[in-house]
Amino acid sequence: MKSRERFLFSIVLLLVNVTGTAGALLDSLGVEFGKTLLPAPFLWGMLIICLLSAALWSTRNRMGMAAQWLLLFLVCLVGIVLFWHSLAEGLGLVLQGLFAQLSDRYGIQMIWNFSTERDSILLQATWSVLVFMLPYVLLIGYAVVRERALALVLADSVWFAAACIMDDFPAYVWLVLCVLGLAAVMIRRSFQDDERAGIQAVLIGLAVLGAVMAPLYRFGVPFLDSKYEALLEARIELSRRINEEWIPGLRRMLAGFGFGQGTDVTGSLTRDTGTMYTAAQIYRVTYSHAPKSTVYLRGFVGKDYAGDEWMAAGDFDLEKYYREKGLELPENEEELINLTYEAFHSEASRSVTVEELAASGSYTVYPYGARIPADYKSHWDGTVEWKQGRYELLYSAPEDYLPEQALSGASAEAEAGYRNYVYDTFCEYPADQFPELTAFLEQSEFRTDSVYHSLKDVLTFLRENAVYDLSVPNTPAGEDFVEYFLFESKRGYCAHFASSAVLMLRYLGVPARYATGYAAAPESFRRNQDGTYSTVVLDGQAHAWAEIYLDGIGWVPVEMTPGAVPFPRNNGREQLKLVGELTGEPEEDNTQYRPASSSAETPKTEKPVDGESSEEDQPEESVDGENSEKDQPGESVDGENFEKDQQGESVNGENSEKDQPGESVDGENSEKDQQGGAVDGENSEKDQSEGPGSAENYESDRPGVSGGLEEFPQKKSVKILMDVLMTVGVLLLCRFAKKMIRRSRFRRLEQAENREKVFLLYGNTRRLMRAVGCAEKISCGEKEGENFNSLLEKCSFGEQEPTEEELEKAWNFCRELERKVYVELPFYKKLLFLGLDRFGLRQL
Amino acid sequence: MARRKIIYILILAAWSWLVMLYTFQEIRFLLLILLCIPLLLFVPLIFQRGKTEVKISEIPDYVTREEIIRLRVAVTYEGLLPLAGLKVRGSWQVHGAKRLSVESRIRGLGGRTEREIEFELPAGHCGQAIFTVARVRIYDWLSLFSLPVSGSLSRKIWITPRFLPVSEGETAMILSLARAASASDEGEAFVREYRPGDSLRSIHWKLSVKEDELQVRDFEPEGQVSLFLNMTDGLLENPEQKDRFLDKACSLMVFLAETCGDRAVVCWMQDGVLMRSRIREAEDIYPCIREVISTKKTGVRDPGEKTVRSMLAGCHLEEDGRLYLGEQCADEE
Repeated sequence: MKSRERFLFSIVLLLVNVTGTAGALLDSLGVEFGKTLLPAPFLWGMLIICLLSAALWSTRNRMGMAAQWLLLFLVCLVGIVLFWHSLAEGLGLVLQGLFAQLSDRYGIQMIWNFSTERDSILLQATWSVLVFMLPYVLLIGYAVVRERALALVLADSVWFAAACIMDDFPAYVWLVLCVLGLAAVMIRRSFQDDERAGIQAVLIGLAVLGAVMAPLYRFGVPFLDSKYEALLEARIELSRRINEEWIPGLRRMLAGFGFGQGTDVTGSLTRDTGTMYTAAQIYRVTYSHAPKSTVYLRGFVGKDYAGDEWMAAGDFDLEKYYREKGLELPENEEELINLTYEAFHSEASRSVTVEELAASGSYTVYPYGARIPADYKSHWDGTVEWKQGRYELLYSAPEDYLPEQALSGASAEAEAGYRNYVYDTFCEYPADQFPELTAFLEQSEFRTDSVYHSLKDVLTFLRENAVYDLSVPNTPAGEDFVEYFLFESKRGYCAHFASSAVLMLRYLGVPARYATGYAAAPESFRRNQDGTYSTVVLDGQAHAWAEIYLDGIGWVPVEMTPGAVPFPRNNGREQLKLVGELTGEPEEDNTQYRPASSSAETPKTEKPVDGESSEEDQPEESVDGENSEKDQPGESVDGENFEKDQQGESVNGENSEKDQPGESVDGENSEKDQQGGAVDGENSEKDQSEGPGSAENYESDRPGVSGGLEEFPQKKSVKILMDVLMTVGVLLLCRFAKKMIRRSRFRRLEQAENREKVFLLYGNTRRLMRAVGCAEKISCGEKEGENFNSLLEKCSFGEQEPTEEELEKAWNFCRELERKVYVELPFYKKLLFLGLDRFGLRQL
Repeated sequence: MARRKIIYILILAAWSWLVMLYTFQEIRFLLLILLCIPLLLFVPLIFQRGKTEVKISEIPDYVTREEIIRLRVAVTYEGLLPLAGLKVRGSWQVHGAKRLSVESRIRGLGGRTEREIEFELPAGHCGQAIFTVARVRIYDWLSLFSLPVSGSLSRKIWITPRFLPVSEGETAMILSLARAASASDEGEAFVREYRPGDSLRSIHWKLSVKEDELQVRDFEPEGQVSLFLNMTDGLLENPEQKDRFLDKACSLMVFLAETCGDRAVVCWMQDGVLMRSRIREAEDIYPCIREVISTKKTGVRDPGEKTVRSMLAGCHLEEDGRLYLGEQCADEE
């Protein structure tokens, strides 16, 4: 075969491959013809590069080839140097689109500043793409001309990787060309001894493959799609295993190499079942003072809800906003991150120390109100990159907040600018994404007059409509995480409650974010000898909550999960109250949320918004129940109490007295609580008689809902009584059942023949021994034991029936053996023994 | 080939994995292609298999040691579609040497064509060598799958010693012996049982039929030149020493045949039996050589190292008037 024919054939194959591969790459990267590239110059340029590549790789003479490569390199170098500005400008256009896509996909903080008019530099963009495609085309040229299928697979893997990264697969036409090109090279290589036959085979092969791919696309793909649906569970399971078992497993394997035992606090909404909570100690948190409320150690902060995860905003988002609005960014992130610290700041010098015990993850956790130093790697959203070891931070407690001492000067200015960003960003509610939730929210009567009211209504709704359940499976495929939780399963854990709350609050106009980290109850802190207070945070205290933005203060946590693992009691009320205090809003009236579905049955009681009057008229009785619980602390069942005054005592009895006078907010609230409590009983009774609008009636409409905000003492006592009766009933039932079972077995023993009795005795004794962990065989050196063994053998192999005397001896032996075993058993096994004592042989 | 198959399997596995992870329809489409196209291209292979035939071309029966044997395997393909590849694997077994595996491949074969594959085989040691076509496989167009072509072929080749020039001393000795033998009486003819190495022309066919056993006419001339090849088992076990010994022995045999006419007799021990072959003509030399080189065991005790060296040095004349190649030992007749 003539070399010219071979060369031409190589060029044809090269064109097919380059068209397919380069097209797939550009398509994956989102580089579009007409929008970013000029088609005609690009195609001509590619043709020239293809010819160049074919000519380069066709040269067999090493010296000649080296000279050609050198020449190409020099030409490229000179071209790049001479036209660097144009090429860079053109490349900027391409990279701008690319980074925008990447930012959209991953929420990363990359932006390519580009201000030139797009249409004016399309030609430059085309040339720059051609220049940067040159090495790629040369690689494909090598694969085609030298018939190296592996190199072509490598070249194809480039666009495939790009497609996976960009999460955008190229169009079918490029795929078909890639497949045809690769097949042609492979076939041609198979025929390298007979090139003419090779060309025949390539042409026949391409025709056949082309003919086959059409029906494959037409019939095969839909068939596979249908089968693919059947694979859905397997795929979900695989995905779950990868994300929840294998990767965490790998992390656990790498424990000690920078990864700890704790869970990484992220925005993922699928539960990591691979990471079992092992009560591993993650952090030791030490406060210079006794914390008054739940300590939230924030790690991750989520801005955008993406169905299966919350995605961080990233610095890019805020910087872009400030730039677009013409605002001036603060010089340091700290100015924005430490807004809460500045807002709470008081004369009292407080600090918090976080010591990593076995922490893992991507973030440094710290409590709200802590001051992040400048040398920490922090982001605008308040997250701080993982910092190993022990770190001490200045801290301002929320209870130190005094409105008159709030932000001022530069901090106030920074907060004012940031507030705009917050309201424009964190109130965004994608209505299209949540049709069911949106419809529900539109019909519902959540109050939007104040943050406090909105928060309270959302909290009440969540508690009444969903229950905390840590064992719920992941959301089924095709279902939205939040909507499925709110309207289908109505069971969930912290991620469900927090996500739902954030979306609902955003709808109501309250800027909200999703946060994850760890939470520690104030009761868990213990006083150290040096007067500080410490607690050890376990891995099971990983938690998710919502954050809301309070003007002039910053982000504060709000607890939306009833009965979450980290807390010995529900503290949603506590956080709500704190918000009320921070916003200076009233402690709440009786006006509460009525869901749309029940609004007809439970008409909303119109109450004035005014705090003073509503407080007087409608103290906390029907909504909060906190005061009533305080009045009757012994009757608290679900921990929905507000024993705030007693918290200090539990943490540090000495300090409670000392703290009370100094902390005006608490003091006021204590008094307020007491006042509320004083009228609570009256109002409760009054409400009971008020009809459908009353809280009790409202509760009674939902018998399945437990753990709501409204719990009356009367109802609780009845509930406790019911529980006691239920327990006693169950115990009696168990006793009766045991007696019946024993009787039936005795009956069996009595009805059995002598020979069978021996076996029953043996089986019973053996089962008991095995259950309590004794030796497998009933064999002992005693004479009675030997007699029993011989009796067993006699019954097993002989035909003689055991005599009454032998049976009596065996019975006595079994009793004696069990008695001895019982005496030797530890306490907890004695209970087991008693439970398993089937024939009641023991005479103890 | 194996590498391509491994890469294909890896890609298939990776793709199946990706199908489970990504919901792109295009990935499923490519998975279908990955599965279907190789299978599709495998189908013609089933028909091409019956259209392919492999034969070993004619080769000489005897080859001198240390020559390169060029053995050709002819491949005939009668199909219409081009055949992507054909691989022939053969084994070359020479006595005293390790089995040698050889393989050659044709990459691309047009429709209705015939091609030859040439194997270059070393004739390393004296003895009988066997070339066997162990396996023939044809490959699909993507060289991913293969099918065996039925049939097993083999060919035997005798590798003979190299004929070296006889030294002057030996020439003089043999010539004097030849002259002495030719001067003696005629001797007497007799009939005996056939022994390997006897010429076919000496077989007494009529008597053989009568006796139901091969009988040969022999003539014991009064004067003859006998060459006793004193091979030992130790010598035979060492292929290189054996080759050198046989080179020497065969060179002497040829010289004897040329100089002594029908009075030359070659003797050697085989399994403890004295073998004796009369060389009447130059043509008789190859059957005789074949018998000598195929001797695997002599039954003669192994002499010492020094004696082995003398064996390879050259022949000498003993007092009994015979030529000996190698030391005479106690087992000699």
